[in-house]
Formats: sequence, structure tokens, C-alpha cells
Amino acid sequence: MKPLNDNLIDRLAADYAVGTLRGAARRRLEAWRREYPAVEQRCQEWELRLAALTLRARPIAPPSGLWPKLSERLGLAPQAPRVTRWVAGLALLALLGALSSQFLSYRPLRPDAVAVLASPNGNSNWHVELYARSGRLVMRSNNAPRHPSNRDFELWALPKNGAAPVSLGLMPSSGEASEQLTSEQAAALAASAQVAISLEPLGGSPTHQPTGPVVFVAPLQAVS
Amino acid sequence: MATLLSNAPTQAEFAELLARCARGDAAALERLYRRASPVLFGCLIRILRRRAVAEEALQDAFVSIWQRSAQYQPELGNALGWMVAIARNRAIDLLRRERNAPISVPELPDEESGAQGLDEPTMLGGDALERCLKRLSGEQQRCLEFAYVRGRSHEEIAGLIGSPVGTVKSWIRRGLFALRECLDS
Repeated sequence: MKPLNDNLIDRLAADYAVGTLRGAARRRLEAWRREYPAVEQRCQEWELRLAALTLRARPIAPPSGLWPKLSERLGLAPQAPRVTRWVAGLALLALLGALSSQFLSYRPLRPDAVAVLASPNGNSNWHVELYARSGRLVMRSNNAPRHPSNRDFELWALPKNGAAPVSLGLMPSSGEASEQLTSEQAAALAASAQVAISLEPLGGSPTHQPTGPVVFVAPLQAVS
Repeated sequence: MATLLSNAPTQAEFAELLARCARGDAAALERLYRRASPVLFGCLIRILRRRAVAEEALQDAFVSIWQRSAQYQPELGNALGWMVAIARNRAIDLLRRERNAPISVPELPDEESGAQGLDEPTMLGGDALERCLKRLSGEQQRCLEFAYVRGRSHEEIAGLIGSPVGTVKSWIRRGLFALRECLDS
């Protein structure tokens, strides 16, 4: 389903933002929103235009117990750093060394951590999803920026302790790619709070360290 | 709350806090929560009408805000509106699940006095919106408020005001397009 007509998008986006688009039609528009920047833009315009209507509902303070719950859910509570769960998984993988091939096809529904690397204008972005139990990394390009044909975008883990970045592989120029992490990559990711993308010679950096400009940096965030 | 809504630098502060969230700064999320959650909770409770569900939706909304903070584009300006949209979309998802559940808070007292939250200048562009809303017909205003503020469907609104669904749809749609024309002019 592609050739969406502007008037139709506009009407659907208006219904969506006011809240009357429901059920399957709503979910379909949400899928289009993720897929087509023009749909996303229309929806966002309507959402922001109508946001002031919210003020017709008087603000109400939520119960004081809600923040601790939320903070725990996000793993932000001081006793439980938010990376604990998947870091533990990755550390175990790193200990076990190379993974046996039986895990290669395992991919649970939800990643353990995600990073979204978006261009400043928001027109293009990459999603990186980490599945800690299976040691897999899924990289998805959404309208990835064009780059010279003799270059590749390379993904790096940036260890918190300031150690050298560790390559996590090349980003797909379109669509989705996934790869199995080595124990070294898993250990580096477990020690990192951020990932970065640099522009490298075709096939990736020859030195195993970023050589070109770093074009995106984003936090790796735990998914609850 | 009046301070929050009328304080011009607040939107800039929200945008800054979102940028810090995108870098994984948990203290920024906590501050954002303290500052913005009453507006979001007020909006969620009107739509969901049950406190427990509204609390769940508020948590879900802030999980999304945290995870999607890197996607917020400062040039959009309206950081609170961006968060409001995330919260509302979650609420509408939950409405589907809750459709058959009993309603424990049928109406909230201030729901009827629509303009209550709007008597101060607002950073959401409330002045302009209010001025433009006043140009709409009474039916259009009423339907928009039922739909947006209370999260009611076309069919529910038709039942509430005793008009055919098709008429309600057309009031809402014409109301929305007239609003845009007025706001853009």
C-alpha cells in the first residue's frame, strides 16, 4: 500500500490526532506513520496544532508513588542501574565466548536495549536493537542518509570507561540487517552506555578504530 | 499549575530536558516528570476515566518519552505538545482494551466547564486556539471537546448529544479544518 493521496492522509491524520480514528484504521495509520515521512509529518502537525485543547482538562497531580514505580520500571532507581539486566546477559555471553549456532535463529519479540540514531532534521534514522539473551544485534535503516558510494556507515560501542570504541559492524544502507555478536563485542556493549556511527571506507575501518567523521551518537537504552 | 502553563521559558526547558534524556540522563527525566506529569495526567484521566488505568497510561507515556526522546526535534518547538501526543495515543490504545470495563469515575467535576484551564496565556498556543475555537459553531466546539478532551468515539458522541453519527463526523471534520484555516491565517 503506497500511493497515498495527500487529502486522504490529511483527513486521516486529523481524525487520528483528534482521537476519533480507532481500531484497525488507527493501527494502519500508525504503521504508515513509521514508514512514510510525509504521513509522520502530517500527523505531527495535527497533534501539535491540537495540543492546546489539552488545557481544557485541568492538570491533576499524579499520586506520589508513581514516580518510584516508573523509575524502577525503567531501571533508573539508584540501587538498580538501568542497564543491569541486559548487561548481566551480555557479560554471561562474553564469559561463554563464541556462541553456538543453535542460538542464531533465536529472536525474541522485544529487544533488551535499543538505540535510535537520528539525523538532526529527523528525516532519517537508524534503529539498533540488542537481544542480549541470543547475543544478536538488529540494525534497521529508515530512510538512511545517502553517502558516497565508496563509503560505509560503521556502528561502534563506546565504553563508559573511555576505552577505545569497538566495531559492531556495518549499517545496512536500507532495510534491516542482523548479526551475531562476538564475545568481544558483547563485552564492549555491556560496558557501554552509547553507540556511535562513523563514515568509513567501503567495508569498514581498516584500522578497527573510527577513522572518518562520527555522524551520529545515541544512548543505548534498556527496554522494560 | 498556572505557572507551568504561562511560563514562557518552560517549553525551552522541556526541550532541553528531552535532549538530556536522549543522552541517557535520568535526572532530566525525573525533572521532566515533575514538571509535565500533572498536565499529562489531567489529560489522561479525562480520556480514560479510571485512575488506575490513567496511572498505567502515564507510566507508559513516560517510558515512551524516555525511549523516544532522541526523536524529538527542537525546531518543532512544542515540547509539551509532543509529550501530550505520546500520552494521548497511549490512552486511546488503552481505551480499546478498557472499552468493556466498568467506569469508576463517570465524569470529573471540571469537565463540564470547558474553558477552565484556558484562562491564562499558554505556551501550547492556547490563546490562538481559543480564539479560533470561538469561531466554530457550538456543535463543532462541543463535538471537538468530546472527541479530543474526553476521548469519545464518533458513536459515543452521537449518543451523548443525540445526533446521527454522520452528522457528528462532519461537524468534527469541518471543525478541524476550520480551526486549521484560522490558526494558519
